[in-house]
Amino acid sequence: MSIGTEPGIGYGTEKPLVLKKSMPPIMKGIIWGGVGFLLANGIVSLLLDPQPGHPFITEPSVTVGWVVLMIGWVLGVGAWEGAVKPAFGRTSNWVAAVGWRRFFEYSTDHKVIGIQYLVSSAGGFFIAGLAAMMMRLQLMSDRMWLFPYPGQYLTTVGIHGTIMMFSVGTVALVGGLGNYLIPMMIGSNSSAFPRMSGISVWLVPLGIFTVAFSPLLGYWTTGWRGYEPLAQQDPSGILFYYLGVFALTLSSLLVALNLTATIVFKRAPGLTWKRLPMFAWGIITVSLLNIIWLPEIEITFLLGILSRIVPFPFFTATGSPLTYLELFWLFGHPEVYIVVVPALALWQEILPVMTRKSLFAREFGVIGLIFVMMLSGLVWAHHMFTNMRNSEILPFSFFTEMISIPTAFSYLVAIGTIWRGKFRINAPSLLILMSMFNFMIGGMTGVFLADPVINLQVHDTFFVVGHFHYTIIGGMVFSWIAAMYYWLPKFSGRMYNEKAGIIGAIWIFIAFNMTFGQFFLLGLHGMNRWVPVYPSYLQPMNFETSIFAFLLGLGFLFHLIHIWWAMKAGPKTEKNPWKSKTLEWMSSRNLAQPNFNELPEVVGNFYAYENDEPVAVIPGEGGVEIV
Amino acid sequence: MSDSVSQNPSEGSASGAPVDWSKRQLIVGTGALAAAGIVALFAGSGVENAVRSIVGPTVQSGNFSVYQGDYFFIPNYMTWRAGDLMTMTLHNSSPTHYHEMMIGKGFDYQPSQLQDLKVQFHTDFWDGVHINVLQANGVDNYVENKAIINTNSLPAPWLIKGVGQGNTSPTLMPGGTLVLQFTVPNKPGIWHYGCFVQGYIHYLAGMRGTINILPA
Repeated sequence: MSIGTEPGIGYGTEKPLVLKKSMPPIMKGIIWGGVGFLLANGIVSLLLDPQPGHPFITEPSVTVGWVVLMIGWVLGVGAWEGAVKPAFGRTSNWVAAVGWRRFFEYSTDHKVIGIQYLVSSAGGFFIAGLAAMMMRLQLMSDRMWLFPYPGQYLTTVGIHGTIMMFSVGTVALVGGLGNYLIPMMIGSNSSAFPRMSGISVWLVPLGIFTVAFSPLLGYWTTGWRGYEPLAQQDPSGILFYYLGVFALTLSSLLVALNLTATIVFKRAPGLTWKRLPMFAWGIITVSLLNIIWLPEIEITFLLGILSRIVPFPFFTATGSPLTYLELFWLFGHPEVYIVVVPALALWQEILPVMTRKSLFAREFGVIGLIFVMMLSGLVWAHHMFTNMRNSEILPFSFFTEMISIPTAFSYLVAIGTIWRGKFRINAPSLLILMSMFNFMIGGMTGVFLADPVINLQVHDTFFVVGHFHYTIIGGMVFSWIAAMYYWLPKFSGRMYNEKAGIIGAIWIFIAFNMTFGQFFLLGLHGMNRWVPVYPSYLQPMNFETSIFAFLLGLGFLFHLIHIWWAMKAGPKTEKNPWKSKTLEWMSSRNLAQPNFNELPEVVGNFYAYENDEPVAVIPGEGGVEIV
Repeated sequence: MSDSVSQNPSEGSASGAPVDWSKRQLIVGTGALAAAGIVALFAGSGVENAVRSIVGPTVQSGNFSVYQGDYFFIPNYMTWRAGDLMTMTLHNSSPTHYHEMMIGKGFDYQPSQLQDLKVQFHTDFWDGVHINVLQANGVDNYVENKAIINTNSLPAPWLIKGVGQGNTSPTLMPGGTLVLQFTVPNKPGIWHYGCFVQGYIHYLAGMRGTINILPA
């Protein structure tokens, strides 16, 4: 059974082209979802569970309504025609669109899905970035001035954190780059579960909009962590936090299942585990983390919703305020490694290409990724040192400091690869170096924070905020932008402008360090998190920090515009401009064609740049191509 | 639609293929929804005021309910007419917090480190008004001030009598309900209501509303 012959799976060209007028799938999804919401919400609030005063929207009704909305949305956007009908043996009328339209509907092509994930993530990044700009605008003064109520500021913080973590941090490198690159990198024409993948991507915009529009239901004050029992006394907006995060984590869970199965079962002949590309190692470790921890947090959020709408006293019983914190951080700390592990893998993917040197100590790179994955489940309680006994603190302090060792393996591999190499300075390589520098600052302040004495002093201050922004923006977002430049010729067949790329990189590096470097100082001077007003002596420093934050936001916007321009109108370039040896560069980027007409056979090491030995044999139309 | 068939030269395959849905519908549909969403998110109260000024206020009469939450009132805007006999059910729907409901104009202030806090209304709306308590469950206390409160036959250890204890205001325990009957006094104009408990922070956090009292 080959791809394309099965109903519902295939490329736009392989079916007879049927002129079929229909509503745009996105509008269909909105209408199916909207009608479903109104019906389900009405049935609950008017018939099953009317509440005093007979409001149309109640907490139980909006929850049930949203679940029906989610189902209607994914079915309308293409899952009904493309996946559900064929699954029940019905004839499907689904025809994949061509051109730009394929990005605005359900698709089974991993390249289209990857780009859909990347665009959704970038959208989430700029929506949440706007929220960050509003926060910094408020913090320019030590009094309330932009937001009338503190609840609005806290909701903005929550929207910023939630969208950044669950639609950007967890998604961009895994759902986006992973879906696009992994099948090509391992010499396959598709991912393992293309229909599931085609459905899962549409949960991302739904989740982003659910969280972004949560203030319509009420403000919530818990931030991206949804802390109970605080959440129980928040206005109803917290429901949209739970539901939006449910959609986003469900999407990431489906991505993890799909990419794990893809890497395990769809590798080309000869692509042994020993030859597996570093980015694939990063994706498989992060996917295992996702498979272990996302169900855990989804169940926790389900308990949160139930204790809200039934209501159950799951988290409000006397003596149990820590219950939720434990459950949340059990997932929450692996989450930050979910964000950063693929970034570490990207360093090891891009650096050998840019130095023309073999990857140094590859085994240690792989071991580092795997040990980060394993240790990340043993450190969660360092978020709660203020609530613990010394005897409980010490093991978590120990493991937290230990995790810096496998993390440092990534530095070992990266520095060993650069060492005495002919390092090519360009936008991707520069951004990778910047990412390494930033993540080092984030990591070292993390070692300080793992120390109970310091932790108890700087707990809940901007020092902590500075620390995790250094790891996540500094580590992951810089690597993401590097990857966008590095694979831009792959995505579009075009090249970015080197000068603009380098200027943009330096721009965000300076703005980033000036913003978040000052967060450490603000924190040490006593600036607390979670407050829109603060003592007046901190005002001048907050004012200038905000200016740099705005510059940082503009810098990201500059990269977005530059990358967009390069994809549309940049100079055309050859197929493999970096002379990389990994398989994705040998495959077709044409969205209407399979990656490989005949599956390649891997015969060598992808990262051996010091010899010209063949890496893979690709049977092509013009005879066998040996790369 | 004019663009229902479009050329697709850039993809190298399937060029000239019929495409089955309209670009204009997509852009107009999602654009309109986005605009509606942004207005709802950032300009909701402006729209509400505009509609109210066009349609005119809905005058409350007879039985009506006011719900207290953390930290808001539903509704947060009411219109009463002087001389009407009203029965107000006040219900604290918070599972955790005590809430009160003062009605008045202007503010009394107390200085604090960060800002001057509004501690209560300067002019008490209930001054000289007769209030009949019809039902009281889970009411922590009821400050009488200059109102004349008739608790009928209900046990009334919670009535705080005498002037100087703050404005007239009931404080409801979580889940508490109080049903009051009163005739709207002839004090037309814009009045405000709010909850000032927990160090006056509930009012600051948005637990407030407006009553427009129309002349008889």
